[in-house]
Amino acid sequence: MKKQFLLVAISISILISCQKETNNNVDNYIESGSALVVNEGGFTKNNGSLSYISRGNKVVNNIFEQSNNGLVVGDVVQSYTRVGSLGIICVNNSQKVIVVDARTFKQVATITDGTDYPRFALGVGDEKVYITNGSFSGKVLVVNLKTFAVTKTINVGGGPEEMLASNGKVFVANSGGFGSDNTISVINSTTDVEVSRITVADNPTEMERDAQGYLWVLCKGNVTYSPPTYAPERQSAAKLVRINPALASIDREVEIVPASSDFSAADNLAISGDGSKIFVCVDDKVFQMPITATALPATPIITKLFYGLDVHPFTDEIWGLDAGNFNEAGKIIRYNSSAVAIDTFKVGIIPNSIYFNLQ
Amino acid sequence: MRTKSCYILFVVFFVLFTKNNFAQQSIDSVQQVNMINVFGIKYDKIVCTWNSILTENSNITAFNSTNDIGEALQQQTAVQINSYGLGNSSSISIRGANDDHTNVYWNGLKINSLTLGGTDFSLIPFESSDEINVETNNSSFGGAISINTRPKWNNKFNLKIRNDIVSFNNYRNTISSKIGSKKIQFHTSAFYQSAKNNFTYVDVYKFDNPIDTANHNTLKSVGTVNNLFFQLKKQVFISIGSWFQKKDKELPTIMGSNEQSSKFQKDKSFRHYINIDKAISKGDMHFSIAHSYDELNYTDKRMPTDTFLFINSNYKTNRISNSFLINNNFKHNLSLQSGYFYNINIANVKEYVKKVTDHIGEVYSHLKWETKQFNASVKITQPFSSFKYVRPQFYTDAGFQTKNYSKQYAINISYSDKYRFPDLNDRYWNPGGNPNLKPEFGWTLNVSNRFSTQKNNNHFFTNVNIYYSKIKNNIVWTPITNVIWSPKNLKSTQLYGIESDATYSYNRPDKFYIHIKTIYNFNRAQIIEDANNTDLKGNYLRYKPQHTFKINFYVEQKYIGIGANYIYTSGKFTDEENIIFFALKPYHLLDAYLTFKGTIKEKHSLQFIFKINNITNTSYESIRSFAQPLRNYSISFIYNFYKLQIN
Repeated sequence: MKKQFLLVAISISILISCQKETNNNVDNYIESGSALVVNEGGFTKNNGSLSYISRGNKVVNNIFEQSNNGLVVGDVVQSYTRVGSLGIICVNNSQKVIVVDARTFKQVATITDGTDYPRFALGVGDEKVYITNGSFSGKVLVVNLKTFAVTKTINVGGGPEEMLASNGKVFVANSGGFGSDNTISVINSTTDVEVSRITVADNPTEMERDAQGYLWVLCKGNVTYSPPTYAPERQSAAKLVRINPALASIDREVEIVPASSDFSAADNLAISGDGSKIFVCVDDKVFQMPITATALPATPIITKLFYGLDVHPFTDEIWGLDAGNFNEAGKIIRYNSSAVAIDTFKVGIIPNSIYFNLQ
Repeated sequence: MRTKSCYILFVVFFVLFTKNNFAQQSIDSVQQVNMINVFGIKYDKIVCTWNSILTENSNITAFNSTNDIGEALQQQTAVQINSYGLGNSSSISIRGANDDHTNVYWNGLKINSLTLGGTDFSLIPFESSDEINVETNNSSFGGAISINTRPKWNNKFNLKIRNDIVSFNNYRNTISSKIGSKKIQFHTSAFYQSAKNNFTYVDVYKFDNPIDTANHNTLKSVGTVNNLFFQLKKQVFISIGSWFQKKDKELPTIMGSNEQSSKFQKDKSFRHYINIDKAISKGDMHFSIAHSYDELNYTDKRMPTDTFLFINSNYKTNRISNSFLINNNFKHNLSLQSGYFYNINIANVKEYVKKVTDHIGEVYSHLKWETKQFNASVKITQPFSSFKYVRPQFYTDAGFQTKNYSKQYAINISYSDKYRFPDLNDRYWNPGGNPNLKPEFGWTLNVSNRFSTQKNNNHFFTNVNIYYSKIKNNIVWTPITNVIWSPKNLKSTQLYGIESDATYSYNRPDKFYIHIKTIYNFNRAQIIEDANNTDLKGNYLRYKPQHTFKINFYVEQKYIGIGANYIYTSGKFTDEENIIFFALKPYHLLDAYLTFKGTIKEKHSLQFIFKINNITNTSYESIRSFAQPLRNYSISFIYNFYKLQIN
């Protein structure tokens, strides 16, 4: 009997030792200053995931899977946003939006109504969330967070991406998606009606609000990929555009990639915790620019290719998201505010963005 | 995904570089014998490996229980087939190597994709083969699959009509005829297949795992295969063949997604060859010339309502192949085989910007010594190409076998150098193709053991093979900017394992036949080094199950037979981080079938096969995200008319 027990014990220990991932749950995923990393996963591979990094730098990968009995998030996880006690996960290629309990990460609901190309979510009050959707003609889905039903669809520009709330309005970056656009939709968040569009530069995608209340928009420029080669052909410059939200007008433009640079790309807009410094990537260079500047500095603060970039709102640490060869787990390289590398965190496959829990 | 640029990169990668996604399992080493014994049936003349599958045998109905080469290989041999789902692409892997590490030949003509390197087994019609051989002792890491046609010289006239009705509105009709004399034989066959493939499956990626139905999954395929065989005076044998196939396929959406797919793939192949064999005073010589044309068109509208094609990729490739071999038995136990093969590869791929012409070949010499008990050989191969120099490749083996043929044990030890030139996509894809890539190279050490015993109508044989392979300079695509990826020689990997099988058969022709075969494989495919990510050292490669176990069983009494095929595949990691949440679960698959055969009149026979696939209704994935059907059924009717030569 003892021998059998020993054999069973050895077998179990071997099985356990084969596990590459351990169940490493933490109490909750809403600790102030902690980070939720969106790992979009490989295209068609259904291996997108979310990682959690506590303030004490404890990393827990695959938190959705761990909290939902191994159910995976889906294919190409685009973004995570917290709205009150709920977390909103846009799963782009699975064409769905998952709602989780932000504390436990247990699935609460799945929204599939009209979500053929979900991108980003923005909480508007406690009971309403906006979700941008569409690869060509764009719309903003208005979702009731009590019923998880889409209560309204607001038509906006093409390929709507990130949103920002300011002055009772929601600004939506109309990137053009797979086509082209150069506008910011302005939505009255009380009436859920688009009230105007601001023309900026081509392909507005990401937005940040600075210390003075201005909105900075990263306009990546129009790049086409025509067959047969699908090689990038840049049609217009990439720019940082500053908007005065009160006037809904352009305040400043900073060219960051000239229209002649086919193979250069601008990406990853971020802002320091106090809103005084803008960060943006051009190819494998990370530039830091005070919000008062009118041109990109000549020298980057970091030279490395990142798939995503963010700045910790409490510490001003720069978090660079390295997707590696897009098949393996990615990593986050953490730099201090002087751009000196501190450490790295191993996260999921193709990390693309971070949501920092503010409270 | 970061909008348009990423989508294009990912789609292009998904379509054009999926070969990087998997690789896996294992098979046996070559055991060249002058007489093979497969399922207890002896064939002489041909030289091939013990684990051949014979696709044509009119006596044993079990051989007709499948009309899919990939399925036949998966069930009957140690190879691993990875499939994107019913009717969709499937690829082969041997001993944990990638599918582009396995060369696939049709009557000596290599039919691997020029652009991707691998072979889509869903595009190989069953009618293209009378015999399939699997071997590992050649210069490619994953061995070779040879699909051959061959004549039956005693045939006068044979007409075969086959009709398969499979679940999900899947219909396949084949008509084939063989006509000839003792000097000339002509084989022709034509087939048409249409399928909706609207099967149900458990969507494990959706909450509560609902039962879904595969949509946008129809298939239409048509083709013809023709062969002409001559026996001339002076012991000259000529064979001429052609193969045409066209397949149009809708590509379904992945599991977990609510997408309405609008992706299509169209494939077209046209192949032909002339082989000439001539006996000479102390041996024989062989000459062949062949041509292969392949076309692939992939389109994606993104949304069914879109009016234009977002992706429209078109490949057209030609391969012209020539080989010569002379075999000289210049002493009783000593022979020397020398020859060359030369391929001209021409790719007309829009993404390459310009038309590409590539020259690849090998010159070799193989010295063999063989007695009744001992054998040894040494082979030197010099590869040549218009691309890069590769040093001479060395192969050697030595073996021993007992004298007693009714109870025989044999052992063989071999060492072989291996190499692989980068595919055309690796070198010429624009942007990103890397003309400075080095070939992958490595070596394999193999020990094969075989025991066979035969008494009356009973036959038993077993094989155990142990192997170790090392591959350096593995090619990996990595991003070099936000918008450009490029391949580099980044990795070293090792593949090692044990393959074993045991077969028992009892055959009393036209009275009773029983066949039981078990196959067990253990394979480990690991990363030794990754220049980009040292954390991956020791991790397992993707889509490589460590354990597979298969059982084939068939018993037939005169008119009625019953059979079953069982396959166990252990879990597979789908990423090189070996994340357990994304690993595919192990699964068991069991198929069972009933066969009936009878004769209407003399020379007219009928066979009827009723098969239940996946009898246990198992939900499983062969490739992550791609649905596989639950339990399904097929009925096959085979009419055969034959008239033999009168001696």
